[in-house]
Amino acid sequence: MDGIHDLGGHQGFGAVVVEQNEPPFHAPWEALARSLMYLVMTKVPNPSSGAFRHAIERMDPAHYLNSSYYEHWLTAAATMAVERGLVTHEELEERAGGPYPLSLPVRTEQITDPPPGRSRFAVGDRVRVRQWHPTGHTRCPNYIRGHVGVITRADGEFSIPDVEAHSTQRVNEATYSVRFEADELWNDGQPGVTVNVDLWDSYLEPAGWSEATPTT
Amino acid sequence: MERSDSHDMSEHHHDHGDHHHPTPPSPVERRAAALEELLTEKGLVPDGFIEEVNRAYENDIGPMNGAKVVARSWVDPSYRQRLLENGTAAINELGFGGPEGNIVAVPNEPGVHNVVVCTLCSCYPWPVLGLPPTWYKEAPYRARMVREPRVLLKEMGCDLDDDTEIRVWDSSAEVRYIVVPERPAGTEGLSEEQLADLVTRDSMIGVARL
Amino acid sequence: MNTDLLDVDGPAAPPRRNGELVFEAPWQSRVFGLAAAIVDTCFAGDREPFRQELIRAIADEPERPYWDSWTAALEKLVVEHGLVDELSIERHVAN
Repeated sequence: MDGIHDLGGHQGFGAVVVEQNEPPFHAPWEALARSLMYLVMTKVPNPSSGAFRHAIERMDPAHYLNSSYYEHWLTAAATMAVERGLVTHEELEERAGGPYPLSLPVRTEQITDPPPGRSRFAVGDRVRVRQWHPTGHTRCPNYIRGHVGVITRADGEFSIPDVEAHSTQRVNEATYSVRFEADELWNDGQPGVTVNVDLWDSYLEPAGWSEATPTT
Repeated sequence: MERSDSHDMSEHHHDHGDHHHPTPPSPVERRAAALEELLTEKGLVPDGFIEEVNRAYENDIGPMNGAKVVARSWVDPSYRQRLLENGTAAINELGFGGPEGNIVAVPNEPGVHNVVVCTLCSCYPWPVLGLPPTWYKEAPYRARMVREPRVLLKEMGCDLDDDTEIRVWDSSAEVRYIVVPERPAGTEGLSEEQLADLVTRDSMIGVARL
Repeated sequence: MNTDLLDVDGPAAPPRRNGELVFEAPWQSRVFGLAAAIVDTCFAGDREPFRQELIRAIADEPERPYWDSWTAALEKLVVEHGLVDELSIERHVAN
């Protein structure tokens, strides 16, 4: 999903503020939220980190940008709890004593027959990131799509998030670290910078040739 | 905009035996003190134990784990080799591991600087660095570090030479990264424990050098 | 020494600011260390009994500040395991 969470490369943000004045102690609502979160992750059928992350990604963009990490977590847990019938939205609003914004609905179909995972590449291979825009969960950031990089590391097989978040099945597939020259990504001539992104096999296509001895 | 490492940002105060309480102790505080006295009287609290725990947590256990890993890699070349080949196994050797513990260690070298980000959310190597700081999880860092790392690092207090290569690591899959900073000059005489005390959390994320 | 007495996340996790532990007063860091000592000396380093009491204490009174719940949990644990009797605590506090 090309959601608001997919922030790599977005311009317009200002300084990184290193110290925040967030309260260290918990406001009363957080205690209920904590229990709810715990409940959801242990009681919900087919829980997966992919589904949980996708629930955060589906937050209204303005809500996402204007709320804390903790509130993202809470919103995702509440959304999953409501979607899976553990609580109702009304119950949440009543206990909270006010509006309880949830994430927007999933916009992709459940996956019933996922294709098998693949392991097509090796260290040194030159690859292009698929230029596609999935409506469901993915861990392929938008900023690298269509760009060419080199595989510098093979990290073993893991469950594909794109399937995990939308299916009761799990498909394992090879993952790799792919090195991109920053200038290739941004076309701005910035020298001496590489951006290294960890990607599943199905995010990639072959791009023609291999580097004999890739340097990380 | 403030730039501080994990030591400065701490809001802990460990002045035990504080003589200037602005307000009388609250009921819970009195109960906590009573509990400690009784348990100590019964010999269940070893001498200095509480102070030792507090000292250990002063910089929080998380980043201290990473600091130990880094210090070990500085004094033991074969450990460094193992750390760079298989980070997960190497941190396990020191007793660290658990969720978010699939580790790759990326070394700083002369002319090479590494920095870690999670553009999609806030993935972070919990077993060696603890919980991520707020700025790591927020939009400006996540948006800008892959786009203009040299500029952003300088803003955050890490000013690199123009010919230093920067490697940005976006933790988009299951690997979690820890940067191994270079050992500072003039530290030849220090013990491994003293070396670990030098290693800051920010240097292991890559937004600071030691 | 028990170095993982604290949950990283979840219902029993302590308050943090910028990822770092926060103690607002010295007594909080002392009662934290006290729990670590008891887990070590009386439970052979097994933090589960204390952790379960802490989760219960937080769930019993969700609005109570974290370190207050921590103290209540530790009190309940040591009383239940006969390490201290409840009357002694009351008497000690009253003096």
